[in-house]
Amino acid sequence: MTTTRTEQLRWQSLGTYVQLSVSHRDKLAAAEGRARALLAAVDWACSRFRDDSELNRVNAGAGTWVRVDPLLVAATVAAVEAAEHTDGIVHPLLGKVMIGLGYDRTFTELQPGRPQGARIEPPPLGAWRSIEWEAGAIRIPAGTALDLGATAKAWAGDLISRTIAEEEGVNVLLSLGGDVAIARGDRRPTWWPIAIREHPEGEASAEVALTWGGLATSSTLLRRWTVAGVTHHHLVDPRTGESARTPWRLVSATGPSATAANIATTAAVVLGDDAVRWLTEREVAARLVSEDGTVTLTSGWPEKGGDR
Amino acid sequence: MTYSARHRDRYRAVATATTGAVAAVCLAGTGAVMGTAAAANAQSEHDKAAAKQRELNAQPMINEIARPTARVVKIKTVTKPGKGPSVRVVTSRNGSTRSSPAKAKPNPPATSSGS
Repeated sequence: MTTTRTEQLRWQSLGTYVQLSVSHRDKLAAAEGRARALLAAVDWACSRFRDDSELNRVNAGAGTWVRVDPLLVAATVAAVEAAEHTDGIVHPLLGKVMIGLGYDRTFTELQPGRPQGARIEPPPLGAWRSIEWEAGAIRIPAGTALDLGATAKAWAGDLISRTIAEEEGVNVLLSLGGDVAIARGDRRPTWWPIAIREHPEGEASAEVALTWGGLATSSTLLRRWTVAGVTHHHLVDPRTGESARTPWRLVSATGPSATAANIATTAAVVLGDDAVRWLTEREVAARLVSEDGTVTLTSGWPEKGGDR
Repeated sequence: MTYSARHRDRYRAVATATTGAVAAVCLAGTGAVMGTAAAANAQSEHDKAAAKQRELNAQPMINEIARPTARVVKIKTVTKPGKGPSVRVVTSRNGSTRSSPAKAKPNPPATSSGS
C-alpha cells in the first residue's frame, strides 16, 4: 500500500529554497520546527558567507588544528568522501578559488560588473587528502580554504530528513535548493512526485516519483555572475580553477542519498564529455540536458513510465 | 707454484671471514640507519602530536553533549554515487504521461532544479 504526501511547506534558508513534506499532516509542524533548527545549525557551522561560522574559523586557522562543532566535522567528512569517490573532481578546498572568481558573498549580494580579482591557482587535485580531523577538531592544509558548497546542502537534507523520519515516524521529503532527500520513517512507502526544472520557478521539463533516497539537479544556468566582462558559474573544475566548461546545462541524478546524487551531478557537469561513461559505470540513473536541449538518459532512468 | 689444499683452505677461511665481516657491517649499518630513521619518525610524530595538543589547548573546549546537533551528527550518510531508488517518470518534456503515483496529487510536486 502506498500513501500520498500531505502538505508542503516552503521557505528560504542557506541562501536557497526549502521544501518540506511529510506523510502525516499532524507531524508537519514538529517536522518544520526540527528542520528550521537544524538548518540554522548547519548555516552557522558550514557557511562561507558568515564571519562567525565554524568553517571560517577553520579557514582562518589553515595549517593548524581548530576546535569546531561536530556538525562541521561531519559535513567535512562527507565532502572528503565526495572527493574520494570522484578522484578530487568534487573538491572541498576550492574556497580561495571561489573568492578569486568573485563568488565572495551570498549569491543574492553579488553585483554585476564587479572588477576582476587576483586569479587564484587551484590547490593540487590531491590536496583534500591532507585534511585531518577528529571528533570536534579539523586541520586543513596551510594556504587552502574549505568550501562545502558542492556537498553541504544535500548532506544537510539527508541529515534533516532522516532525523525527522526517525523522531516522528513519518516519511519525509526535503528539497534544499533542488537537492531532494527522501527518508522513510513509516513502513508504508510514499511515492513523492518531483518536478525537474532549470529554474526553481520555471516550467518543469520532467516529473518523476521516488520512494526513498535522493535526487539532485545541477545546472550551469543559475548562480552565474560576471566579473570584468567574464561570466562564471558556481561549478568549478578543480583541474583548472575556472568554471567548468561542459556540454551539459542541466544534470539530474538519483542515488542512495541526496548527497550521493549531488556528488554524481556535480561530477558529471565537471567531467563534461566523459560524464555518461562515468555515471553508467557507477549505475547512476541520470538525465543530462546538453546546451542545445538534447536529453541523454543513462540506463537506470526510464524514458517513460514504470520502475526500472 | 702449485695450488695446495692448504692454500685452498686458507683462501676459503679468508673469503668466509671477509663475507661475514662485510655482512655484519652491512647489517649493522642498515640497522643503524633504520633505527635513526625510526627514532626521527617517532620524534616527528611526537612533535606533531604535541603541536596539535598545544593548538587545541589554546582554544576553548566545546561541550558536545550540550549541542542540539549532538545526536544528529551520529547519522551516517551514504556518499558513494551509485544505484538509487526506482524512478517512475510521471511526465516527460513532450507532455506524455504515464505511471503516475498511486493517488492523485493534492499539491504541486517538490522541485529539483539548479539553485
